[in-house]
Amino acid sequence: MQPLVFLLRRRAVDLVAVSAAAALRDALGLGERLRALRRDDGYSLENLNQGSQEEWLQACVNRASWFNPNTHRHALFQAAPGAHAAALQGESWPKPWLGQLLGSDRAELAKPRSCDDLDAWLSLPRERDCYRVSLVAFDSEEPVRSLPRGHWPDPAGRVLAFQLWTLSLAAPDADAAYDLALEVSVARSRDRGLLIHPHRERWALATPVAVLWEE
Amino acid sequence: MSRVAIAVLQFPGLNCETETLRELTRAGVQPALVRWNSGSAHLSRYAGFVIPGGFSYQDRIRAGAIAAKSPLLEEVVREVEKGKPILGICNGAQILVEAGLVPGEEAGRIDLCLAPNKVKGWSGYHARWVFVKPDSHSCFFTENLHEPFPVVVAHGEGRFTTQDHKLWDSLRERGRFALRYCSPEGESARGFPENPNGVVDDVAGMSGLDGQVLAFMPHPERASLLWQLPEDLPGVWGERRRAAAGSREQLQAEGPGRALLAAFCRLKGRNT
Repeated sequence: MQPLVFLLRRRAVDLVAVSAAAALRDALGLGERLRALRRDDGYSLENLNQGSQEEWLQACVNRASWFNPNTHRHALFQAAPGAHAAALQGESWPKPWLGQLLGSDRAELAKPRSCDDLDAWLSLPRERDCYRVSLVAFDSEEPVRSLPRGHWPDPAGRVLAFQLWTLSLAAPDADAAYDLALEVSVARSRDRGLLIHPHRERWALATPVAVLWEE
Repeated sequence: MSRVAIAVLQFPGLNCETETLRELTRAGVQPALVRWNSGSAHLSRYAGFVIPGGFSYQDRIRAGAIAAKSPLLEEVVREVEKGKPILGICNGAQILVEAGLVPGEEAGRIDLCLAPNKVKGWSGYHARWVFVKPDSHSCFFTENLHEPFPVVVAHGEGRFTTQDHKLWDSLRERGRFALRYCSPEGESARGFPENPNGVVDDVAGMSGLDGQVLAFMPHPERASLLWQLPEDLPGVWGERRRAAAGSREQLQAEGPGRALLAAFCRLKGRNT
């Protein structure tokens, strides 16, 4: 079966993202170019040779300790194969990696809509000349692990836990938005970068940079 | 004669400022609390600085990441780059590393991180008594330290780590590993629990810039009085603690962590 990605979104205000956005705007000089910042927790599942998508969704929701319905919302996405190998070998991730939405506890995502699946999940403000840049950040030392103890459709499956940082940036084009996102995300010095620490994390682009609204 | 003025820097979420102030006073200096929101803090009046332990900004993003970007720290960096000493304890150490003051090879560049503890069969926050020994005398705070001493660790992210292995070797060769975890006898740590977080080369404290910066994961302020030590501690300090049992006066004697804080006393008479 194709790899899967299980994403989790806090129901309450994400204070980490709020603090990070404030630091990016004020201390790192991003100002109003940063329109929004989202942080999701995620689990990339590969090596899935048994079970249906629905069984995997139920396992992620009910059998792992990943999801708490009182604090989080969830969604299951399809993903391109090769992310785990790339993470282990420090290589580029498949492009595009994150694919179609397969299921969620947010009923509104099942309705017809004009934006792509990730935008629908993220619910970013749809502003003109704004681009979405979604970066996956994961542990650099032991990125891929066995599934946690429990009943899984295929116990031989492997999991990569990550954080998905999504920046909505005002920029002239997609390339400029990507460069700016990396500049402010990867912590290189006291006045450059914050979200991802290159001495303990690696990162990859989750989906192509996308414009959020155009006429 | 007036005492050396030391600023204890307070960010929201730090929670060891009271005992740090108290033990700095006992060590012989004149500490003052400087809060992150005190506006222009006029730090030039202080001869040195301490960032105590805790959870600044709730460890949001990473431990120390947000405090390292604060305007107060910008001001501190300007003073430290003039040569004034600064001690970062636990979360304070994490802030110094996130601010690029340790190792400080290039102004502000982040060359290290304090990664999550990584010990076989154990992960997460860990608190216990450990022993450390000075391994270099090129750091302001360890110049006069010679013997191993017991001290408390209490952290979840305390493993000095870098992806730049050449830099690590260079730091080792240049004596930047100011303090290392060790056995009670002062021998190299024999893994967990003597090395409580799995750090390579048993590094407990790393010095930065020209030796005036120390990022130290254990808490010397929790070992500043003899009564703070457990009675079953091995080694010389354990013997002293047991000998003092039952005597209020003797238990108030100096503990092993105070010498590190008392290093600031050497600033007396220096131009600041």
